[in-house]
Amino acid sequence: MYIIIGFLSGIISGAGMGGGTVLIPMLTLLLATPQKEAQTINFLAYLPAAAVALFLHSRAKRVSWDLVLPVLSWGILGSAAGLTLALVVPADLLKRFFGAFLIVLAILQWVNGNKKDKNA
Amino acid sequence: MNIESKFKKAVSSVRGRAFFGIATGLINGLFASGGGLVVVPALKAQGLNQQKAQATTLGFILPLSVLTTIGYVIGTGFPEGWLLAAIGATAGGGVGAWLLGKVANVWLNRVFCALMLYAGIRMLLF
Repeated sequence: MYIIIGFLSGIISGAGMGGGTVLIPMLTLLLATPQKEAQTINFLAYLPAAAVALFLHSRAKRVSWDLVLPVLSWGILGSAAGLTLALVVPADLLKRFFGAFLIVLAILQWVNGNKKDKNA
Repeated sequence: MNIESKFKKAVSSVRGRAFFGIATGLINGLFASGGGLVVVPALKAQGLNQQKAQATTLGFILPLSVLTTIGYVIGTGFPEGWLLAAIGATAGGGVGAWLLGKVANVWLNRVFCALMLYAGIRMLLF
């Protein structure tokens, strides 16, 4: 089951949409994995593929590192705060937050997905 | 002004960088996912094309994720099934990249949105 769920979410991830936003709900809703453990699995599942993808993109000069680097230190600060919050908050509450976040993303992505890529 | 210098201008102020960085980091740390769905459209709005926006997003999110992963593993240990999920996700990623451009993207996206909406409602309420 874990392989199948990982595989399905991987397809969506590889097609350039979110992988974790599918993997985490499948783990919690289908396999009753606790929310925090599901979030850990998501990170572990995507790091290897993401590292390979980033290496290939970077080699093909598709990554604008000059845009990334100045923002990175602020991102680390935000990540540390988010991580701390995630580990402190009760799992059930985190799951509800996550649900609300998914609903917002679904609406956002629906709107964005119907736009044409005018910069292509 | 070219597209990249437009985005550079937007994040040229310390306040702009701080807001963008902290907001994305918070999403990454708290929800362990979904950061890309926020950053990619933001970069596209600044003029990057889909491919460069995705690549640049990865360059930003991956370093954050490496750090956050360490924190999560310290918090939860290695949960049951993580290795199987990782094998599945890696294989699926290859298939997804191959499928890209072969299926009507608009419909793939709508199915994806519907799934997120359904899961979101269930997770919020039950």
